[in-house]
Amino acid sequence: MIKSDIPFLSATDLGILIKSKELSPVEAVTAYLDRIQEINPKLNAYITVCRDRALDQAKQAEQEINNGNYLGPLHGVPVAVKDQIHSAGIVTTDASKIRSDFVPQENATVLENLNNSGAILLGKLNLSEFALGDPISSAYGPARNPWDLERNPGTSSTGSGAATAGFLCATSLGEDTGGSIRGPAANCGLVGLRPTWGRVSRYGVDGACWSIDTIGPISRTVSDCAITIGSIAGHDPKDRYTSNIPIPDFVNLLNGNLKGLKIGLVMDFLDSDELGVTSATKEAVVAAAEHFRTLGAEVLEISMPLAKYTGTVIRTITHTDRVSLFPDRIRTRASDHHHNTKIAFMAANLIPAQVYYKAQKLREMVRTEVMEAFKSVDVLIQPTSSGPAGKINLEPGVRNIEQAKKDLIEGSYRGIYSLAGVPALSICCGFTDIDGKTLPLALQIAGRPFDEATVLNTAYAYEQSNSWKDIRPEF
Amino acid sequence: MEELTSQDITSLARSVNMHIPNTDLDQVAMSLNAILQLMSEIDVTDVNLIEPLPIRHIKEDAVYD
Repeated sequence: MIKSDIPFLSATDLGILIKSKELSPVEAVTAYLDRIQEINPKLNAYITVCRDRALDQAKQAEQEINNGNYLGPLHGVPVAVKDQIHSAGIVTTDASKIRSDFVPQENATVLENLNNSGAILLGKLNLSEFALGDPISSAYGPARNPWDLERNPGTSSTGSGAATAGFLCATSLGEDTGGSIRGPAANCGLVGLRPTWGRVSRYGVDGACWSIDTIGPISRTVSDCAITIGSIAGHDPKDRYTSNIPIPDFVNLLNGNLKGLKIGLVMDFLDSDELGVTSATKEAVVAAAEHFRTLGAEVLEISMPLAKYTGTVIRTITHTDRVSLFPDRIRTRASDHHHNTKIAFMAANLIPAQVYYKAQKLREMVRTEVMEAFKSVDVLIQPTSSGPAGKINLEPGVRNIEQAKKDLIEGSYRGIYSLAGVPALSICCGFTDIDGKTLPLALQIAGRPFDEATVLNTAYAYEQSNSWKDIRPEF
Repeated sequence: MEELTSQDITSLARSVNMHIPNTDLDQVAMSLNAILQLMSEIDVTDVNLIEPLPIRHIKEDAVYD
């Protein structure tokens, strides 16, 4: 195989070639490092590239595999993680000037789990400052969307989306509070899974909102996503809220059989003027629903009246929680934040307790509404976003109150399942052409708590019956 | 709901021991007013009677196998 072709393999296929010794981990890592050197200046996906460490890890993996100590499908596979995830001895910045020299002494549990799976860390990925969700706020400059370098790769895991779509890593980790895995997956035409809250340890990941934060994969295929979540999930004594529920073999459960599956199409996201879905996205999601019928699933229309409020509710909760983690920072180091982060933190610091508490009550009502829907269907589907990736506006500041409200409401598309704490996945469901650029559209699939397997299999059946994943960005 | 003014924002900030420079007051006001207005417009029956979310999933809601 030509070296420059290696990064275009899926993580699954790369792992198979490494297992069979047709390709060595050193060859794989070298191919990715070469591509990062060439392409990263365009995408700005990496904050830190761990060149020497990755090569050392690759040599070690090669030796282990040659000695018969094969660790599994990620052994020798080059990965990268959001720079919110602690890495022992490697700077972890949160894309903030304030954390630019923070070097953790210990790995986050998810990174430790990746290490134990034999994965090789290529580096740490860009994000919006403190994972707040503004594409321009990174102290290292904004990451760029490989489908159109002028567009947002999706927040807050901007680098995870850009690097994975740009073939700068085989699979990646993001962190999702209000949608930060699914947003980049949607904008970049990838598969991103927010796991059930409690499925994956949060230990060693700089938090945003302790009761909503999750860590999960952003990958190019459903199988890659299944491999990655399988390697990081599970109970962790260091995170007391992680579940003891057994981890299924997510990859083996991918059979593409949807016969008898009941799917709820959430109409509120397709019909509401307030939520503002674009016609291209609506058509793509309706077509996907029809496609599921042809695959043997039953598709029912579902209404969730609280859906349109969920963006506002989740922002009220998560911004308040986030600023409460380090209340002194905004008092003493306000000017060290990006302007947009500073304004958001200052506003969050002033949200009255009764408003926050009302949001928490609404959260329970949303959760009940979602669980009620799961009494009649197995999974729910809807758009991941109102439309394709928007252009990056480098001018800081809140434009006006109407725009601020619009941004809050847009958060509903992904906020609904964050509030419910259930697994939700984004997958490409077509493309639209804007200004001469081809941009991905995205479908979201949500499932019952701890039923990632059904969510993944639904996505797998869809992915295997179309060719969206074979279309590559040109940049 | 009436919008909070820059003066209101200054007073609120003082109550949490935070100083907001004059140059940022309008921006903070827009950001906070957007949240407060949208939250106040959410008029859901019986919301006051709801107990907020239990953090762990209730056993019967979850899929175990």
